[in-house]
Amino acid sequence: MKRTTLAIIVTLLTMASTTFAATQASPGTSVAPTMQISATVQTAIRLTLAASTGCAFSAPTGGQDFAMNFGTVDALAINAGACVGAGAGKYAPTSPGVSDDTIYYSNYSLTPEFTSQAQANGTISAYVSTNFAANDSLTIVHGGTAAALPAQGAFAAMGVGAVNSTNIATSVVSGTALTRWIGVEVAHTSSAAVAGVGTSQSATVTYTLTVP
Amino acid sequence: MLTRNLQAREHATLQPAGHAGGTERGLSCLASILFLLMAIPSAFPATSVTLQTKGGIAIASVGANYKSSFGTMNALAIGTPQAGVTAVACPGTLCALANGALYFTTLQVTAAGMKPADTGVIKAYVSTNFTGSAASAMQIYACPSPSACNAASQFSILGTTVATEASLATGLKNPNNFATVGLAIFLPDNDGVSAFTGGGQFGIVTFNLYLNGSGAISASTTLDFNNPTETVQNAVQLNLATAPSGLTVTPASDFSMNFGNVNGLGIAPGAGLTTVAQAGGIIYSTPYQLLPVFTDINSATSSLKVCVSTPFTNALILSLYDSPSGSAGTFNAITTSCISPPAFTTTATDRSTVTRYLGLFVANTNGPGSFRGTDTAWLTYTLTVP
Repeated sequence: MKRTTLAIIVTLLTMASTTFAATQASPGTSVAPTMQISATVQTAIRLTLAASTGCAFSAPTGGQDFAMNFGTVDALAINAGACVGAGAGKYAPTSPGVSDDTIYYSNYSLTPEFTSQAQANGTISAYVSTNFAANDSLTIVHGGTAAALPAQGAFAAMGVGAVNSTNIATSVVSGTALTRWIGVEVAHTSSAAVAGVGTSQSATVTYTLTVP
Repeated sequence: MLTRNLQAREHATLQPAGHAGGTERGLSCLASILFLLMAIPSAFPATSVTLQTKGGIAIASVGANYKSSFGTMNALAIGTPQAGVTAVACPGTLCALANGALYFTTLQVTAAGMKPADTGVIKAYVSTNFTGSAASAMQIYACPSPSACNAASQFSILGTTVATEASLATGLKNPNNFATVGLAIFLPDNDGVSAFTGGGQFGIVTFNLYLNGSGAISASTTLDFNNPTETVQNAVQLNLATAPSGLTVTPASDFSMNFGNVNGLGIAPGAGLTTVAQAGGIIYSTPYQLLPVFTDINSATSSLKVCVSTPFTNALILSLYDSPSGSAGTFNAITTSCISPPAFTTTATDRSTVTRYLGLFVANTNGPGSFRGTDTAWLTYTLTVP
């Protein structure tokens, strides 16, 4: 008889404490539902250019991502140009109008960012994807992989076309900003065939960040 | 009494009949016939109201009355009700009543003993109401025939006096002297001082039969909800839901939320997501809603806690954050210890939506420790009403 009574009590207790889905309970004063959180992590990569201490960036007008305007330039380095910051300047020709050219230059910043990549380092290259219309008179030059202001002779013409890409930086790490130099070389040639004088000229440089 | 009166009347006329001759004797015979008609049992039994189970709760007879029970109930309609009873939460798609739950059932009422020419109406009222906290007192509803009485909308509250009784079955006439009607108990949702739980709740519904448009009660019976008495239990419920402009919360085992494609730079967050700067990566943030519901508990406020019960497999890359506003600097990592996680609110009230922001942190790791692919974690939310 005692055993039977015990069995009944156990049954009643079981019924009285029945719980249902984890979102609700009766009787009860506490409930603990769960929520599954899912996500798919993808690789991502980003390259951001910004003004440094030289030429200011302006709003692009032709669908580009960034824009820099050197203003009015000339082969004798008479004009100051539009870039007046500490990181901008010009190299005047040693023999004005005779041998070498004028270079208007500026520094700028590149910030590579990438995530979830199998490699921790990447490279940055650049090329002139759209050249100046007056490319006999104007040439995009770069300071190579140097962070400090290159000497006049260290500025070199940037390759035109993707196949002629110029190395800008190697072993870059995500999130570390780099300082590089870019400029416009104004040719000293003078003839009736020189084009573009007195008109605004523009070129487009394409930068490529690659994380292998 | 009638017999005694007729006998007295008969005795009073005997003497005049002896003096008057034939006419008086005829009257005496008529009185005798009336006496016999009144004295012998009628061919039609006395009218009565009978109840019986009809697709609903079991009804037992006790003499001329009946007893039954709705069993154990709660104001959130949680769980499986007693056999023959349907429970719906209110308000909701199935119930337009105020906060609470409606438990309803059907039974058959019969107007028995009516003569062929009789037309009966059965009305009902609550002759003894449930007790308990006044605000939490259960209320009895009824559904008249010919409604199917299978939806909350067909039920109306019953009056508690004979003057306010409701017609449940009309036009009862032999052989169609019965009808299926419904009875229901509405359990209001109350907390704090008006909370009530416990057993011993009983109520009595009286059914009255009226014949041929008469206002006089021809027969009555009662249905006592005391077999066993009704029991009210407390109940709690916590639902998570999608917030406006937030990521979709899917109610499945128990809930799920998919942040979709994410990356450590926060590039192109999906719909319902915004990004918040965080050292070492990015936080994808989304608002969502928590709706605590509790009833018949003495406290009017509750606490809500959250913990990461199952972290991401790639816990160095993915982790979960909580924020009250979604603003930068307000996100805190959700603890992975579910033993005693901190409460993010202790003042959540019944049926009051709490909006929080869930943040998914994605580390911007590269190289050997990097991760690409799908991962899953589980959060456990705890609603506690003290």
